[in-house]
Amino acid sequence: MSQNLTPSALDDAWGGGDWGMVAIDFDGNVCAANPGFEKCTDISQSVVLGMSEADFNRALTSARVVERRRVDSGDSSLRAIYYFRLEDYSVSESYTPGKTLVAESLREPLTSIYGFAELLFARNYDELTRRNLLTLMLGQVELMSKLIKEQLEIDKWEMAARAEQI
Amino acid sequence: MKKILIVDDQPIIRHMLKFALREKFALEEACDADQAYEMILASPPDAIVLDVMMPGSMDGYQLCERIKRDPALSGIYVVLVTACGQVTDQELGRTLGANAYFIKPFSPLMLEQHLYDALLANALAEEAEAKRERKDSE
Repeated sequence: MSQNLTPSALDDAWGGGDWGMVAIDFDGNVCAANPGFEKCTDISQSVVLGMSEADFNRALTSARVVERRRVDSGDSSLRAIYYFRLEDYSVSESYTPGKTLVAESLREPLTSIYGFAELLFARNYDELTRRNLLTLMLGQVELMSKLIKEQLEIDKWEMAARAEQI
Repeated sequence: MKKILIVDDQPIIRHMLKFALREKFALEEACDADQAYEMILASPPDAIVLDVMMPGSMDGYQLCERIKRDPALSGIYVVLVTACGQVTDQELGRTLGANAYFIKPFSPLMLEQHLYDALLANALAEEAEAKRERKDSE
């Protein structure tokens, strides 16, 4: 699977995540890195692609990283995935309770999308299982879309109510 | 194989976790804290992956507290998973005795590795303790 994996494919799957991520292929070289990695380490993706795992670890010694973990992929085509945390999770003071609630509601479907995407990326499943997992992910995307739409409607009503008060 | 109880009210999250963890662990699942507590009393698992916000008479924090206060159950490794990402939520989890805290969305592969490492460390510690006790009694 790693042979077919391009950095852009990885960006699609993990571009919006909170973690920087780098994949090590079976030969022990960096085969992909997501935008979060660049953001968290200030090291360009193009610099690390193709690097051996040892060189990659050496390159990271000067990087500013909050947390780093290496996870064996458990699959024969991919050796490991590195995770880099960008920053501690915290809710900004500018968040209203309503928005925090929406953010927390969005995290539920996001969890299954993120989880299934990672499993599809790291493990080999048969075609039927892959399709079933993708169907579940699409359902969760639709749920997220609905939640966002509802929040935008609420915002619209609130703005209209405020305008009427003024 | 170590036994893990997955507790979450969302069937799709339980499904995703089962997919992620089934290769290394024996799995059981519960859809709320009350059902989970009954299952724990009947047959304690080695670890629990426990959602915090759930309907029912108990939430994840309350179940965690109940487990950790019971000497017979306190050795169960508890991982809280939650959509509440604020530092105060994590501190509450720690105060109640949770062993780890994962914020949604989290990496299932990282959770798998975390559980594997933690349960292995527990097993090694138990083994060392048993050896020490045998030595003392000789």
